[in-house]
Amino acid sequence: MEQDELLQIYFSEAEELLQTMEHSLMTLESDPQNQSVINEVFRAMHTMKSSSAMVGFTQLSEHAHLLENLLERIRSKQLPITQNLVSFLLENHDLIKSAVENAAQGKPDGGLEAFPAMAEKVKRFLGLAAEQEEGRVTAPITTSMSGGQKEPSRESYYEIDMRFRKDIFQTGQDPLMLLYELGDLAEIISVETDLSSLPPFLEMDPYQLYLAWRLLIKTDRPLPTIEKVFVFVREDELNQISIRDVSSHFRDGVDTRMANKPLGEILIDQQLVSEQEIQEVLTQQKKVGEALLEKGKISPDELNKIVDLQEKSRAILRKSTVRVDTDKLDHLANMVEEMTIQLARISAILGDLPPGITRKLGSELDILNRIGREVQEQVMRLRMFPIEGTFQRFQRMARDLAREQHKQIRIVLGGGETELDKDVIEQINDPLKHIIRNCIDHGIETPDERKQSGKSPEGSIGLNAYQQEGKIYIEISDDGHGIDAEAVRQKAIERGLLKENDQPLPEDLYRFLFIPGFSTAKEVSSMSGRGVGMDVVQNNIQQLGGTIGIFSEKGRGTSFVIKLPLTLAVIDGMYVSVGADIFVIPLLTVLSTAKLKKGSLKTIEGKGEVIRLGDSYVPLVYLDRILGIERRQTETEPLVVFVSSEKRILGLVVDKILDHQQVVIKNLEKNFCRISGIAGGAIMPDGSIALVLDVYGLEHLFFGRTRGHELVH
Amino acid sequence: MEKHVLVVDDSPTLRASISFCLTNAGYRVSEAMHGKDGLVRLQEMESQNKPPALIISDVNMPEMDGITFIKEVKKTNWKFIPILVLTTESQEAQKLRGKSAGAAGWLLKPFRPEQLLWVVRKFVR
Repeated sequence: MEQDELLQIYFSEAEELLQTMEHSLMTLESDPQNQSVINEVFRAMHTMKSSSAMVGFTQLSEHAHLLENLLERIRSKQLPITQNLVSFLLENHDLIKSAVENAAQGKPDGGLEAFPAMAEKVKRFLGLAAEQEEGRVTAPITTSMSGGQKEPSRESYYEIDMRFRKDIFQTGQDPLMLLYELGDLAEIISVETDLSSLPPFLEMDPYQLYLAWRLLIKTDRPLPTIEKVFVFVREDELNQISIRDVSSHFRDGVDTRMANKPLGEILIDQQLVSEQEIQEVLTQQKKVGEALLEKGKISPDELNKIVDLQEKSRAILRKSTVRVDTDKLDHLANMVEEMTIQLARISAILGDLPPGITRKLGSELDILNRIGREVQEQVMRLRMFPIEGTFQRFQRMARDLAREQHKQIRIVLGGGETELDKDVIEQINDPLKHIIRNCIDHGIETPDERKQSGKSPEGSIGLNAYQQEGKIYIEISDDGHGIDAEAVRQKAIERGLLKENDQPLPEDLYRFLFIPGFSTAKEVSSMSGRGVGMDVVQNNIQQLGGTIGIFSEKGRGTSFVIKLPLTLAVIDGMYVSVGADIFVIPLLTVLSTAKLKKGSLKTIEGKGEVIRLGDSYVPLVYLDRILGIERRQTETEPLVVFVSSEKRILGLVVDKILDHQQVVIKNLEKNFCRISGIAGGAIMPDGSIALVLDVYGLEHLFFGRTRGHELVH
Repeated sequence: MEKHVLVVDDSPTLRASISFCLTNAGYRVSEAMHGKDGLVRLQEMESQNKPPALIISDVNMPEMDGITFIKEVKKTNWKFIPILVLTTESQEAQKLRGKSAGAAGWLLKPFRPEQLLWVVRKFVR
């Protein structure tokens, strides 16, 4: 069919309509109350309007529209039919007729010039202000059907919930068609079907809809375009359609909500497995994905795909945090520290002023001090991250290693949310890895061995972290065969570390395991068992200002307990004075203090003085001597601070114990160089500098029999 | 299902326009002049067991108007066939009457071919 052909149809229809109009109007003149005749005129005018618009005769259509309104008034008896009115309508009929005839003769603009004046007259009949009517008529008649303009494309994500009336099919609607339509406009990322209202098979009525859907779509179309898909079903309030813009959850096309969701939950959401299946495998305490894989509930491809998505999501979410150079944080911490010091100095000055001023200012200063402490704490927290990520990495490592050795091991994680200083987390990684390897290599027995000793064939390694008394504890425990204390003792004797009849406590015995080259392992695995390892582990932890202890019970298992300071930059310190100098001893290392009484001292040939602590004697370290500082003889009785070091306990001789409080360690290396026995500097409340002692360094100094100032290079 | 659409309208121009547009887009179109004619056409189709996939119906028609027509169709076995009502913007009430009679949607006159196809594609693919 050609456009011309369509026009021909229109012209003949228009002719027919005009004839009907004319005829009916004549009838009305003699029979004004004939409602069916009025209806006929109205319908003819209405059709005239639509048909003219369809073929593009807009002005004609608009005029017909005006007349239709007028006829509507007549039809609803708002306007009485008079001779005059009929004449006026006939006049209009003639005008339309001449316009149509002109158009039919190829003069589409012919006869249109009289329309505006006539339109004014119609409007006067309608009692409408000219502009008002104008506005309405020329308004685009079909706006609600247009596809919507294309906005600059930006991909958005929408989550659409569709819940329909049960008898929706009777309205001629089919939800499937909506899905097809959405598919044209958007990429459908996921479809979840809600089957919860599905009745038992026998009760099912095939003409009813029992399903509801949740879709996730990605599209560059504007929201109104998506909403128009539901234009008809939304009209009905029994259909519930909600469209939510979830773009904020997506970054680079990845759903960041997945990052913090357990894998099992995601798999349920994606309807790859049922909740029941997850529960079943969860009771077996395996990694959900792996367990489902083994059971054949899910294909490796499916699992990998989802795990990939989750990883991506996590990566993206991580990216969403602000990355700040730790140097900047350290600098911030320093500034805050200096601020608190300055405050302390002001407090000190205040003490010299008249009490009247002091009282008022003092309480204000207290508030300022408190705020300062809080700021300091918050700054420190900026450097903190949960240890979970580190733990999780070990899970995989342990699994692979166990498989290699044909052992069955399950990793139990706890306290993953415990936050550690970023540097601590980075540096604790290697020591932890080593310990876990040790547990797998030497701790956990083979399934056969375990069965023989009445244990479940599957061994377990627990990784737990918690905060207690301002310190971070990390525990790695296995339920393996434990450490053979006797073997350690024999080995120690063999290496000349113990005498034949020495019977130290187990805890002391286990310390030998940290000595380089000391291993009781019969076999050597790829990493552990070569005697290199535990000493490195201990060194790493000590460098972090932490300690490590071993607890073991033969046949029951071994625990490694690592104690770490909350952060590297701040330590709890004990201020002590030696001569004119003030030192800070990390509180983590302090065991007890005592007065230095001549009676408790002993001098051992070649080893210097020792002091009694409980049942044993510990070496006495004169800080002034070892650090090469001058110490005036004072009348006050010297004190001993017992500190636990790498291999033993030391008694540090000091003049006075001043105070203890948190200090920010400032690195001296940047400005000076590394000094054995000194961990760094700290600023005292009065603005002077105190040196922070490094107990492990002191021990090396002491036993190396070298003097501190000689070690300065 | 065959892409078959029944158009019920008393205006030959409207019928021709819809036919023209839909035929070009690969649909088969049957025409009826008013509601009564529409029911007759549906009976013919039923005897051949060839239901249309969609019915497009005007409201204001002689013999039988669109609303009555929709109600009649809903009484038959073919009540699941979607019906679109043709109306104009000025006749909001018609749209709603059509809806409550059981129409699946509506189409405002006059329309451009792409608008017609957009609506039809919501029901027939």
